[in-house]
Amino acid sequence: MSHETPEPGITRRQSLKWLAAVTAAVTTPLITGCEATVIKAAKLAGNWPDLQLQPITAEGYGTDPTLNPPVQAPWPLTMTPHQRKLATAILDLMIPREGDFPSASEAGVVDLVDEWVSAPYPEQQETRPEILSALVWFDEESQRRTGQSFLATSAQQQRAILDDVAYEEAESKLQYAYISRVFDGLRSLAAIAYFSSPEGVKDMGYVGNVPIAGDYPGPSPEAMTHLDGVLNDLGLLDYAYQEPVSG
Amino acid sequence: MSDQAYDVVVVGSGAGGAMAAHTLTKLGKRVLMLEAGRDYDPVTETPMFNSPADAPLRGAPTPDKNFGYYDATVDGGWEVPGEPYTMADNTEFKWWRARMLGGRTNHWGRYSLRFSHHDFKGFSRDGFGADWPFEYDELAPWYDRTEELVGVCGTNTGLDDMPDSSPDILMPPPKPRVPELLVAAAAGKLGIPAAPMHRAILTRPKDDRAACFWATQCGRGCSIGAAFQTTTSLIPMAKATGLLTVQTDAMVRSVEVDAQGRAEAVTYIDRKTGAPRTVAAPVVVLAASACESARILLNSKSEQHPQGLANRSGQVGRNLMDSTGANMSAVIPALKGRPIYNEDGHTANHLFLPWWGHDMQARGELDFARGYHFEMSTGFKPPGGYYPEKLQGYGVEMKRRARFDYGSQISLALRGEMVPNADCYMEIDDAVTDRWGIPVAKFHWKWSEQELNQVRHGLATARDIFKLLGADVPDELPDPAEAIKKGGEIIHEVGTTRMGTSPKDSVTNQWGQAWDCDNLFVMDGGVFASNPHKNCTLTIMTLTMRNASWLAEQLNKGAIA
Ligand SMILES: Cc1cc2nc3c(=O)[nH]c(=O)nc-3n(C[C@H](O)[C@H](O)[C@H](O)COP(=O)(O)OP(=O)(O)OC[C@H]3O[C@@H](n4cnc5c(N)ncnc54)[C@H](O)[C@@H]3O)c2cc1C
Ligand code: SF4
Repeated sequence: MSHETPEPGITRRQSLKWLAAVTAAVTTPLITGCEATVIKAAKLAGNWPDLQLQPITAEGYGTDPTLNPPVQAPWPLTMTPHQRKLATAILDLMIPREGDFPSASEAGVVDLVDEWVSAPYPEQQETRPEILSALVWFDEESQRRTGQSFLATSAQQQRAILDDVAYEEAESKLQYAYISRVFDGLRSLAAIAYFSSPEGVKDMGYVGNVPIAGDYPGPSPEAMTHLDGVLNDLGLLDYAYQEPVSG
Repeated sequence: MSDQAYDVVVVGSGAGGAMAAHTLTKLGKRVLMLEAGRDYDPVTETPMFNSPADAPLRGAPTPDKNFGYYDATVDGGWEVPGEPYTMADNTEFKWWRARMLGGRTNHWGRYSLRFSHHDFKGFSRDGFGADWPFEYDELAPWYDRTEELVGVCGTNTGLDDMPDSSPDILMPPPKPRVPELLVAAAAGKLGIPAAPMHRAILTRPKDDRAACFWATQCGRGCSIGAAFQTTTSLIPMAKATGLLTVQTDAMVRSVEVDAQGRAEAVTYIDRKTGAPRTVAAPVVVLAASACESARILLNSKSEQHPQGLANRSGQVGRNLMDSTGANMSAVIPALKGRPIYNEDGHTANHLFLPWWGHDMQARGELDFARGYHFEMSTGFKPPGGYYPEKLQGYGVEMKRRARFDYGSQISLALRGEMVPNADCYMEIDDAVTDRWGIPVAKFHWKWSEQELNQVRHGLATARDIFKLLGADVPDELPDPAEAIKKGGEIIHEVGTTRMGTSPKDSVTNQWGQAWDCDNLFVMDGGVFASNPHKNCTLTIMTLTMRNASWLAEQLNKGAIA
């Protein structure tokens, strides 16, 4: 492909990175062995629920769906009410309401996660047991710590669990190695879904996708000033781009 | 079979087929265009401003839509339903196809760079591959005409890798954007020039087509006609002559010949009914894309042409080439938190890095014969999916990080020229047929040291650029054999019916006319004698305009009866 302009939304690279991370990169300094052994040990140490699920058999949208206006995903949503409630709680901790900007669930992120785990395509099917197992893990971890389900426990306790799994350091602790990877994947999915929602686009500050009459205006004066500062810092001012003179 | 309803039957409606039909109808010839895909109307079907939030899975790529939900490709991608291809052992080859009026021009990148003087004479310069049967100067006026008709924005640079267009041919290019200017400066320090990309995008209105309004991804197609695709330009313009008949859902199987071995008819499968149909064809132009046209020839066996039509040389399917490709990306700390502005532009490269090493190669300083260029991917893109670094934590702090990192990543994509080799070719797999009962293509592929050395050089160059930009990139380079994209993956496949000066080692003469069959022409990338790194499609169209004009002249003279 000659153009390197991926569409917005979830790129293949992004989601594959996640999967690779979950299945292959669970390596901790505490244990050595082949990939399968490490993953097994991490799952065991982390009380990973490891749900075994029936494959989704619904149809995809096919190779010629209507793009304008786009059609809804034809496959049925499959998350249970309890799974959706749990997902709402966790995703809203990840992306809470912030001033005028909505929370994850308000921005449709839970719906997207449900659509994602219910989709018949291989990539989604591979992440489905990871995401749904993670929901169970949060519930069980809460039980282990507080004797209460994740939804019933206090906001403080909920955060305490997230604090243990949401940072890179968690990967080096065997008991959190697996969940922290899945959490990272879920967080990427949530962030992508949120920031590509109409409100999330504003939150990010993106100002494009609006028609402009006449010539493209180019960088703003502030952006050019900033660029000059960067070129100066990097010792590149002497090499600043000059428009070609010929023709 | 001599109802003579048409002067010429053109197979395919993409870059080659539509240009052939446009040129011929403008010169008064009656043309029947046979297109395998469905009819397609970009004006009503293009999802211009639709947001990812409106699409299933936020528009994520799926096996049904490989480049994302909104990509314009209909019934295609890396696989076409019911139309497989096969590969030899140890071969990985990717073949992107679309089954729609306009073919892949509906969503191509529109990068439109001229080949230069040395590109047509590679063999004479370095002894690899084959020369083209003419010089750049022969094609230069046709490049002008094609650029003018198609609408290309860009600037004359005077660089030896980028021949100038005649004055007033190019439309003005858009202003460069911040990350591009940054890369240009780092490259400049390494002695590598940056230049405005040439793209088949209108920056001024033309015919019925509006100028670009600097928003919406061109891969979705362009309902206002600013991004060139044959369905908003050449095909309607050719239809307006009253001389073009378009038959969609017509999957051509073979070209039939008369007792003398000349083409007399084309057989296609009506995809709606599955029934075969045969139409008389005084002249046949194949422009089904390089590998499909070769497939049709190889599937057109007869007593007169036992190895397949126009294949006495045995060269049909040989000399298959793609561009080399490798990507390298880095986060540029200095770009984090920078002032936001509308960085969409025409949503692809405004600047790129053309090949700068011809002199080094002439002096024998490089361990590879042919050049490459860098395209870039960067900028404040529509949000979603671009977190250059792993997110950390959760809540407001996590969101702050995501915002801060926005627009700080730069990817450099190498696109280079490969040298043809005996291990890269296609043939017919006699054991497999597609859903229409047509035997399928089988690919063989192996990169040579030429390509691996070139990619090694490119990876080192990209690393050096990123280092000058303050990025934290490792000194050690990835293994080129791992980094190089698969054969076909850059979607610039050409060479399968190459042109030349002798029927012994080429399939057509310089006019795309088959040596073995004077009323059969190939007008797609199949005829390329080499595959310069400068994206093939502008040259497919230019050659087609030139050769279809010659064909019309021959018809006028009665030279092809
Ligand atoms: C995402 C993408 C980005 C690209 N970017 C660039 C770029 O920036 N610059 C560049 O130069 N090139 C680019 N290309 C490549 C470019 O699209 C092709 O080089 C060009 O379209 C080839 O033109 P063509 O006419 O040979 O084939 P196509 O455009 O593929 O058209 C061939 C047509 O023939 C039809 N057909 C096939 N078989 C049959 C049959 N048996 N019977 C009847 N009809 C048949 C097909 O359905 C199709 O419509 C890109 C391609 C893709 C996919
Ligand atoms: S960026 Fe310009 S050329 Fe591309 S689709 Fe949008 S309007 Fe058309």
